[in-house]
Amino acid sequence: MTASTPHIVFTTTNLSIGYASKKKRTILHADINLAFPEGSLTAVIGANGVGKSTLIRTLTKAQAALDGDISLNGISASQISNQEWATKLSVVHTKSPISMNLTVFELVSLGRHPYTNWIGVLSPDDHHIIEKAMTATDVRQYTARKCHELSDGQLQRVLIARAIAQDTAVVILDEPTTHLDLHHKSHILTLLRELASKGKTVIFSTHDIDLIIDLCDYLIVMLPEHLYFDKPQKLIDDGIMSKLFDQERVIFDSKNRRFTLNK
Amino acid sequence: MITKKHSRSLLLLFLVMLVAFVLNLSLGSVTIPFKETIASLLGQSTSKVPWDYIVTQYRLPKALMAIMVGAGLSAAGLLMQTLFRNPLAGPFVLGITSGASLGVAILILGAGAMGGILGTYLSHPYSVVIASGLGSFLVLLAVLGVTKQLKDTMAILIIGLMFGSVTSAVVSVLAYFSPAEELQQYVFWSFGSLGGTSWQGILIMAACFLIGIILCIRAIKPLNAMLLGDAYAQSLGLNLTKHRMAIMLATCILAGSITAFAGPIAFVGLAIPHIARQLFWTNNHVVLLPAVLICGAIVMLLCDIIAQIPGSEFTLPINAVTSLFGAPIVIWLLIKKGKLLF
Repeated sequence: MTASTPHIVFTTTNLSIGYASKKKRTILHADINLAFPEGSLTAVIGANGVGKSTLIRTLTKAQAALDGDISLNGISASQISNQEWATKLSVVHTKSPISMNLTVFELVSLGRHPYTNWIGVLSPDDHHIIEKAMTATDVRQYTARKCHELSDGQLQRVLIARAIAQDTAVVILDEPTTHLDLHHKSHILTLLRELASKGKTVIFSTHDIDLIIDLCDYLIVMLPEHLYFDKPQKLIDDGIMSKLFDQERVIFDSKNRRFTLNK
Repeated sequence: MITKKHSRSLLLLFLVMLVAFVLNLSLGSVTIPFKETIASLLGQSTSKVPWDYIVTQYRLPKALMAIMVGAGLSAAGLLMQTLFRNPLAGPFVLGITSGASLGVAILILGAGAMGGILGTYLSHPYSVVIASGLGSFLVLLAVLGVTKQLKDTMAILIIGLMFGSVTSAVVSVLAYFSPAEELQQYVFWSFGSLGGTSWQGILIMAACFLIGIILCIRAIKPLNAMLLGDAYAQSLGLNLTKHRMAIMLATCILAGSITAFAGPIAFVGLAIPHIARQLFWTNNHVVLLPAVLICGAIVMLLCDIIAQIPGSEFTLPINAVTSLFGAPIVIWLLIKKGKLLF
């Protein structure tokens, strides 16, 4: 493994995403071919309703792919049991109905679920990993607090700590910066950058395009008709970014690499 | 996992349960001294011969029944509350009691209408137990069938309620056409009763109880993961459908067998999990399950003592006592803590 050819951890081949009911299949995007190198940070961006959540859900195996395949380290997802999958890929969901009466420690320790015995006893190793995850996300001082006592920003970091405790090569997050102020958004984003630099492959969906465009290694730009996957600069040069929103209202300033209102 | 404080509280509660157990055996229409009660339990002779008989043949099976009913329904209630993430869920949300009620209603009320065959079965000592068990079992099959089809937990909850509505409607129709005497017999069954089960019945009940509790213990780890919601539970590698089915099976076995032997006992299954959560202030099922089992047993033993009205000939229906004395406890705990832990 050299710097010029990084190891590809996570790939999709001819993936189709969308919804299938008994009567019909609604394909949102077809023939998606993605390859995420080890230690890369990728953001999924696109307008509301374009299928970001569906893509995230399909990548995490929470929703079945309509066609094509997802593979981890070259092994097809269909060949990997749910239990084993949970040791390779962890998820941070947006609003999920978690029991807010769990303490921070209890919540983070549930990340060890795939590794513990039948009744969930934590080994000294598990404790060590949990402590490390809480330190990395700067939530150690809240260990004994109940989740409902935390601010949105703190809770988001605790949820990320849980994913880190799950100790997986790939971490996927659905809109981790939503509902946060600028300070906490930047805190979360730096945290994700750090995770990637420690070798995890991090993929997250977001609406904070201005903040992430200089931060990420790759972008997945979802337009209604097509999905683009490339380095941010390449997408800007190709004029893909300016297609994201209706130009009458929002225009992309490719020199300053940010969106502005079309006044 | 279990903190020292929690294990000490559990031990204390267990001792309280033992005291409540002996108290339950010694109190009743005839008060038997503690010492004599324990002597009788240990197989020694009592100073008055009838005392020994009362304890071993009447009060002991009733006390064991109280423990199994209280513990079993509370555990089933805890399972349902976590599974449906709903503080109002109880062991009967799946329609188990309704199924049991329908079975018993068909037996008791239908016997009058159809006479002949059912009438002869009615005299069999286990007829009510079998009818109730069959009713629960049919509902169980229906619920498991639905669970396999549906991914949405809330939809299962609604379907359980619908099963309940349909069966209670059928019971109403049967009741409407039944003579007063049979109606009274059915109403008495619906009050619930801990006594009157033979030792053989207790053994059958104990076997069902044991299977149910083993399933509950096996569900501890998935239940904890379910506290994060279905999406997270799945991302932790949990096979949701499989665990949901196992949890429902445990609930149905416990609630079904208990209803078969003791009738539809209300309140305990809904309230005890809340009492245990308020007392232990945790959602961790490793602590909650034993807490709920012991609390349930204590409350049922105490309610049974109250129902017997010590020193008098009267007994109250157990269902009335559980609610009358249980509800204030729940209200007091909620007010004391200032908020509901769920």
